[in-house]
Amino acid sequence: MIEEGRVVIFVTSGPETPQRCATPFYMATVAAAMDHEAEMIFQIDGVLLLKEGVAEGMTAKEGGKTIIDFIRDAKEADVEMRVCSAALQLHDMTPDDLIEECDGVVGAAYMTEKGLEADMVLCY
Amino acid sequence: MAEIKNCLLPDDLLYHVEYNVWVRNNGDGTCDVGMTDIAQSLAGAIIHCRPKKAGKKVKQGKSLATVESGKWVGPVKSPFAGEVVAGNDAAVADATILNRSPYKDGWIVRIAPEGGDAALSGLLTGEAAAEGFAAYMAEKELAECVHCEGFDG
Repeated sequence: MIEEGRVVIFVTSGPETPQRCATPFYMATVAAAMDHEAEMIFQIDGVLLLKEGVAEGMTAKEGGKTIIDFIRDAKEADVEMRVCSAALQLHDMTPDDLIEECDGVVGAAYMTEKGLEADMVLCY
Repeated sequence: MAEIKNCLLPDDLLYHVEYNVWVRNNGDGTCDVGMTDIAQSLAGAIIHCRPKKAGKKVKQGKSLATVESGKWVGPVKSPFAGEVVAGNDAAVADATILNRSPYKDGWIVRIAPEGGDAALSGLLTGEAAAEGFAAYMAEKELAECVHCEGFDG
C-alpha cells in the first residue's frame, strides 16, 4: 500500500446532477485524511460548484448536507481545488466569480501533468 | 470526571484539545489513543475506522487512523511522534464502538511515543483539559454531546 501518494480527482458533474456532487469532495477528504496529497480539478460543469453562491443551496440528497459543507470539510483537510480556464470561459465566468476555497485556475497541460504524476485518478 | 454540556472527560486520561483525542499512558512505553466524547458526537454514527498498521511511524499531527461517518470523514491526529504498535481490531470490525465506548473498548491505536513519557508533557489533564475543551466547544459553537444507547463513557 502506498503510504503517502497523490490523488487527483477530476470533477465534470455540476448542479444539474447534484447526486454526483458530494462524493468527489468526500473522496478527496478521505484521501487527505489518510495523509495523501489530494487535489481536485473542476472541468466543464464542475466549475459551477465553485461559483459563488451555488454550492450553498445544493444537496446530493434531499434534506442532506449541503455541498458547500462538503467543500469546507475538504478544505479543512487540506485538499487543493483548481478550476479549468476553458471551463470558466464556457460558463462566461471569471476568477472573480469563484469562492475563496478555490486555489486557482489552470490549463490543460497542468491537468495532464497532474494526472500522469498521480497514483490514483478519479473522475466524476 | 469532568462534564461539559453533557460531554464526558475522564480524569485519568491525558488530552490534546485541538486534535480532540485522549491518551492513556499504559506505563509500558505505549499509549492508547482514541476520540473524545466530543469528537464522537461531532462525527455522528461512525461507520468505518481504519487505523494505521503496526510498525508505521507517524509525526505529530499526522493521521493515526481515518474515521468515517455517513456525512463526515477525518483523521485521528497523533498527539506526538511515535510508532504504531497496534490498531484496535474491534473498532475496525464494528466502528460504532467509537460511539458506544469512546474511552474504553473504543480505543483506536496503541502507539509507542518517540522519546518515551517526555512526549506526553504537552498534553492536558484535569481542569486544564476541561477548560480547553470548553473553549474549543464555544469557538466551534458545538451543542451538547449525544450518547447512543448503551454508552459506557
